[in-house]
Amino acid sequence: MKTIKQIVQVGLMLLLLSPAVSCKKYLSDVEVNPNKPEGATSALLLSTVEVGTFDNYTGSCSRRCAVLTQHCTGVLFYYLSINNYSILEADVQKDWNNLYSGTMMNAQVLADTYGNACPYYRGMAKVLKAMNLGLTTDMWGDVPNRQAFQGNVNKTPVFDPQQLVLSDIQTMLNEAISDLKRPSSSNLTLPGNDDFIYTGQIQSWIAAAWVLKARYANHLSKRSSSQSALDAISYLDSAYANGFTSSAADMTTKFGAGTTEINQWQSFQNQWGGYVKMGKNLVDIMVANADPRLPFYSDTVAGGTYAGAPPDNPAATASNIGAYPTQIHLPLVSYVEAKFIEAECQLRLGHINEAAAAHNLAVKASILNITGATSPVYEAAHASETAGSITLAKIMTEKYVASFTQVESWSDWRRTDLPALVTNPKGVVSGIPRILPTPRDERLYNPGVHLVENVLTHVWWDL
Amino acid sequence: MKKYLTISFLLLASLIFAQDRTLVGKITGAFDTAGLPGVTIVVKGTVIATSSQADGTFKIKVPAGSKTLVFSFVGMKTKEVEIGTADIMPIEMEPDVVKLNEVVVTALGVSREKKSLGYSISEVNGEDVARSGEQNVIEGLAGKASGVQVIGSSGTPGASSRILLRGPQTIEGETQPLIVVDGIPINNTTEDLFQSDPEGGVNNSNRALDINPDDIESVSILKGPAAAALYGSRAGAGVIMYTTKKGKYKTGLGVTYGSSAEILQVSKLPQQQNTYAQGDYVNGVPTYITAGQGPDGRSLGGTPDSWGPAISSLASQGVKKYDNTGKFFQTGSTFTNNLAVTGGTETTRFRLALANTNNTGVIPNTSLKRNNITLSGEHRITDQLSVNASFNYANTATQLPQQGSNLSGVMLGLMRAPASFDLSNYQFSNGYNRTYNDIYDNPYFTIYKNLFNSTVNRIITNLGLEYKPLSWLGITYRLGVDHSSDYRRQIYAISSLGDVNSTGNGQVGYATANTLQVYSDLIATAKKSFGENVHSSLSLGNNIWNHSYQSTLARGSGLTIPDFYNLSNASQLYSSNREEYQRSYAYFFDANADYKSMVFIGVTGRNEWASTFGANNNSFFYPSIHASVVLSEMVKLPKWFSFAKLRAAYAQSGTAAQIYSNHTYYAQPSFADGFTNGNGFPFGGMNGMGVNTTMGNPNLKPERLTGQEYGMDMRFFEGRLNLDLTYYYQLSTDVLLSLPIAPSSGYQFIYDNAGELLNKGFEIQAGGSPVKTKNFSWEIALTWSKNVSKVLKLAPGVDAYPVPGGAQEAYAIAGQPYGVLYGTKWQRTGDGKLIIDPSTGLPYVDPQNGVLGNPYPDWISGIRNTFRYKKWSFTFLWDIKKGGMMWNGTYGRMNHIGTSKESEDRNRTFLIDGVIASGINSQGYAIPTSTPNTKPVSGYDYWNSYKGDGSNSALENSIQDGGWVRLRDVILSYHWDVKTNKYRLKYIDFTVTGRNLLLFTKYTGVDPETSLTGAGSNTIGTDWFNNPGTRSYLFGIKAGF
Repeated sequence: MKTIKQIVQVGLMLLLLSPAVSCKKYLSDVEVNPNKPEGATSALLLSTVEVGTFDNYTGSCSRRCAVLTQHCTGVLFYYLSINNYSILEADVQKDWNNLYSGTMMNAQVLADTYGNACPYYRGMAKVLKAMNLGLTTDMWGDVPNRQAFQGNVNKTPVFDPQQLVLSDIQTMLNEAISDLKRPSSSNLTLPGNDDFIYTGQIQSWIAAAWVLKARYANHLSKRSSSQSALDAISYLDSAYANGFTSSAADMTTKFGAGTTEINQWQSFQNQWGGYVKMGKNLVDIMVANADPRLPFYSDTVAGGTYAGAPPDNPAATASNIGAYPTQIHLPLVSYVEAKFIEAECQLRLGHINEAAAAHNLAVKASILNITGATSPVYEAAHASETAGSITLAKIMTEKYVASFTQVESWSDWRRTDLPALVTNPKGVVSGIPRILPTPRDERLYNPGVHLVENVLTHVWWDL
Repeated sequence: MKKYLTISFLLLASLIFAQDRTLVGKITGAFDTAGLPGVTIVVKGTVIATSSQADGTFKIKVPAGSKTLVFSFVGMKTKEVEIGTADIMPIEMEPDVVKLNEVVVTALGVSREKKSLGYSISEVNGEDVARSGEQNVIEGLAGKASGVQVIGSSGTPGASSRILLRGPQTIEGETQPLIVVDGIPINNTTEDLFQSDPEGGVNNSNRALDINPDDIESVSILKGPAAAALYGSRAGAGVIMYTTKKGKYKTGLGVTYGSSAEILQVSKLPQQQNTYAQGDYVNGVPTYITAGQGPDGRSLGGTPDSWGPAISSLASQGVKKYDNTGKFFQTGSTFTNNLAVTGGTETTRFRLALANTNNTGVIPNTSLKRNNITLSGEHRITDQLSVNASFNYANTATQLPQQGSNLSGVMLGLMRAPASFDLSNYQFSNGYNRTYNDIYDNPYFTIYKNLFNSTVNRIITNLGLEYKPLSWLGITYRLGVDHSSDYRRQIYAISSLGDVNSTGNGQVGYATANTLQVYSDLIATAKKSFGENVHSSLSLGNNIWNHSYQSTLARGSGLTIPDFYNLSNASQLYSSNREEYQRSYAYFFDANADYKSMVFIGVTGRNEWASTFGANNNSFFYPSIHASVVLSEMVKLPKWFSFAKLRAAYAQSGTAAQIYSNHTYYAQPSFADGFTNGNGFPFGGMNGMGVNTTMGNPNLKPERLTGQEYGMDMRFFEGRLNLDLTYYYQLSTDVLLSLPIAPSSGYQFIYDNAGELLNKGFEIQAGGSPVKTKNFSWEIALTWSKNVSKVLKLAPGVDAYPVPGGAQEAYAIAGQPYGVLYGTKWQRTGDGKLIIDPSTGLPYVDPQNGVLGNPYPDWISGIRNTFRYKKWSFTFLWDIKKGGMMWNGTYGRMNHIGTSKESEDRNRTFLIDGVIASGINSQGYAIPTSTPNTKPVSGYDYWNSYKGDGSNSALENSIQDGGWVRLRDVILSYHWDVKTNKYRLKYIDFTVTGRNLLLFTKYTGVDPETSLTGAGSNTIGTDWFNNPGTRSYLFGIKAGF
């Protein structure tokens, strides 16, 4: 009896304990995630950063700015709120997320992880990060950069003053240009089709980087009128010297027809048709000038005419967005923009001949670019400025028309107050917003936040 | 290891003692001379046992020196009889009116005497589940047990039901209990395989739907951690143990056949106005605007609004009134057939059941079809060794309607449709969707063209071994496999805008999912008595769990040939897949002791290792201790006080971390901005990857749920009245949250143990038999439960946390109950008056969101009355839910667009009660004055903005009391004992059931037992064009042979 008991006990123990031998393996065999990798490649990261840039520049930020600059009018719900200048901290959260964790974080990882072996990738990553950071600081003023993108190391990066951010953007672009100037032999792998923007043509990246330097230099027009103009012009000269001499050099989006690659204005029209209509201010300017770009920008209403909605009467009957904003190529950094920057800066420096010439080239390039043809009638009236006729108002108005869908328009208006926009009297604040409120998650989880609640606050370059 | 086992079996099997004597006898009831079959007879202190025959006779061999026989039978008092000199023993057993010996299924499927438990377990009779008329064994529990809240999501076929035990015990993880069938945990997930918006798509089924309610014998509900601690990190939300019907030994062959037919109707709908036509105010004038067919053959133009002129004024334009809603719904039906064959010999018993369910919904062209085959059996190889096995095959096919926030949503298209538009004419001649504007699909088009189908094939099977080598030792082994495959197809026909990017170009998706769970338990239980009075037992066990899941999705869009849904018809393809593998193992013990069956104490412990624990954490231990004291056996109570027991328990269980959250991964990014679906990959023929927005965390621990409960079980007047009270206090710590962090860090979330959540409450179960005579009885059973949840903390800097997987309106907010509805509200003065803009007459919206209401009820109660008169039985269940706020988004939007009945009252001005503001301060807040508002608003502004949900409206408008009093079921049945023996027919039961016949609620929408996000989400209390609930009448017949 005793023996039997013992055998039972031993048998039982073995039965209970035998799995323990292989336990560790039993569990570790299934610890690897079959759905997501723990690393990527330079090409995969570059593609991500570029697509993120397309979204940041032509998605929600672009639609919001179009409503604020009265290119468009928000008619329903959230877009009606923007039209009424009610922009809440939660409304801007996703844009901030896409900029920081979606795009710039990956640009940073691309530069840090692959930069030494592949300086071209690092250069492109820095150009893209600079242009996203530029977009971010234009919209929010003081923003994190120096302590940002460090994950666990620093979960609460301090907000850098905008002045510092802008100088860091210039530095970043300088570093990018120097990386991009390295011989291709110093790269372990070279970008190709993963670079949607320029399919690995490094020279184009260098040129675009110079235009970006000019753009952010020119943003300081209120701070230092002439130095900003001198800087911008010298950067533009470098851009031209590197081949940025026609719209063919433009940095544009490369949307497609697939569900994941669709133009975001198009996608918005599909899913939220009727929320945003053409704005009265833009349509009226274009109708008055018989602008050949209007049929591309806007649909007609009944009767075949164009009707923009005024901000204080956001009627559902106004014209819908036309085909242009929904096309595959929307400008991110363009020859048209370069020429308008040049015109504005030359004018600021008193070089009125150069200003008029640059203005005329910009308008012509825009017409050709958008309509696919020249327009002798329009160009005779609006692209034939001379030293005697050129004014800042003309430059900024033409730039306003040419920059439909471009967030840069909002900065242009804040810097120059041109073209003159009438504040929506039904707005919840007494002026057109000049800054976006701090996103909610930064307010809640980052004690280093420079909190902005009042959308009439001026960013540093706007003072 | 196997060798040892075999040797032990062989050795032990030979241990059969010499037997001396054979006793025979007949067992009868005390007031009845008919024999009692199936009574268990045990020679006390041995494993020798038998059971009585159909006529109540028994025969048992007893070894020399045996002193006592123990007779036990459910519902009878256990009787111990001294073995005398006579070999023939007549035995009379008395009914156990106080039900002291009731046995209940506890954790790991172990049956225990109820009085020995120090914690509360609720039980539901299988018949109550089957007769409820619900096809979902989760919904079938509604109103039937204390501490159990069932949240049905809709009355459509296969709609999911969510169940909570004592409230939500965690924030982001699983708040629904583990479902166990015959000791084997099964899959009850509610899955969306098409990556739909959680507020849209279809109402996916929870997989307990695959169980045939007619197979359920009983349900044991382990509500708190004390009852469930042996399930470790899977027990945080409690456990529901279903026990299926089995054959019985020595009963011969029996056949039952049951059939039922049910008629279903829509129970409740939002009221619509039918006076005004589609249209808008154009320059202040109501103007008729409707859609036509555009040049591309699709609907073009129109407006979502019904702010047009009176329909009667448009007669000259041929515009008239249509009762779209009245015409749309149909009478649904359910037919069920259940055939069961049971049998039992001395050593073998089995049950084979075939079942068929065919349900068509109140929304046309929707259905649930289910076939079940169940076979279970047990064979006693020797007196020491028995094997049992069961096999359950289910085939569940559903055709489900689109719902919720979805351009194809059925109620969305129907409730928004203007009365001036004839929805039933739903196609243009080219077959395209004809709708009243160019945004929402015509609901008829959706139900006939945008089909969603799911077919599940599932096998749940288990194998068990019970071995009692020694009188004091038992070994149980159980192996269970639950495997299911789900094949789904989702169509958005050409011209429907329900497709992913709302292109209207047609889309078809195919998805498959395979789920496999393998589970095993090995438990050895030793019993030992110390003297006459102290009895103890100790179980040691091992438990292994292995879960694997694979799903694939293939979607084609841009279809060319209408009504042809092979992916070859698509111009663009998208596919994705997902796999999950999860394992755990554990060792556990369960020790119990009692003193004179008066004082009981139990201790359990489980140490668990799991693949989802963080790399820096190896294992976790889950203890429990519980005790009960039968007062009525210790102190002399008055005669009417038949029984009193006090109980107390303390335990810890857990909730495991989400799978694959230990590391930071890379993933294909998506740049959605809250409006569009954004861009992602593939893009331009290339792939892309970025750092995941959630940072991995190697330090994860399972959440810990620490529970205490105290209870008292009292029975009076020989059990005519009973009362069971429970108080519990359950604290969830280390609650896992995807904590938002500053996105400037490069990440948006880190998954971490941070939160604390408290649930405490009372549960009452009471019953009484006010009348009990030979022919007539009246019984009342009452359950009442109140749970109070409170989020104690989230994380530093995190005060509000959106409840994941659902509507953005539900939040966990520190200091508030879990899952409160959160959103925009009006600005008010300190004493609650609205602050009105004197220029518009409308109130200001508070720039900051606030708490709008708690969707969890104040208390819930079920009251069942049962009357029996001879062979007649009549029972009805009142189900009461007190409080529980709902976001009736449907109401707000219908006001906004002018289709609600209320908005018919639009040709006058309204004065909103409040005080006017003198201006706005720099933070955007209105500065109140004490001057009452005198500025009236137009009918349009009143409904569109104030009572509506436009850009200057507050969500608080649409928050309504979702409480109810409902007559959940009424059942009349007649049991006919067939005297003639022709066809071997023994009895026929006739049943008539009414479901939800009465519903009293303040809620103005559909039946408030509704949930936009279904059982798959932790959010409850949201209604955005939810599909309606049903009431039904069911006729059943069941014959026994």
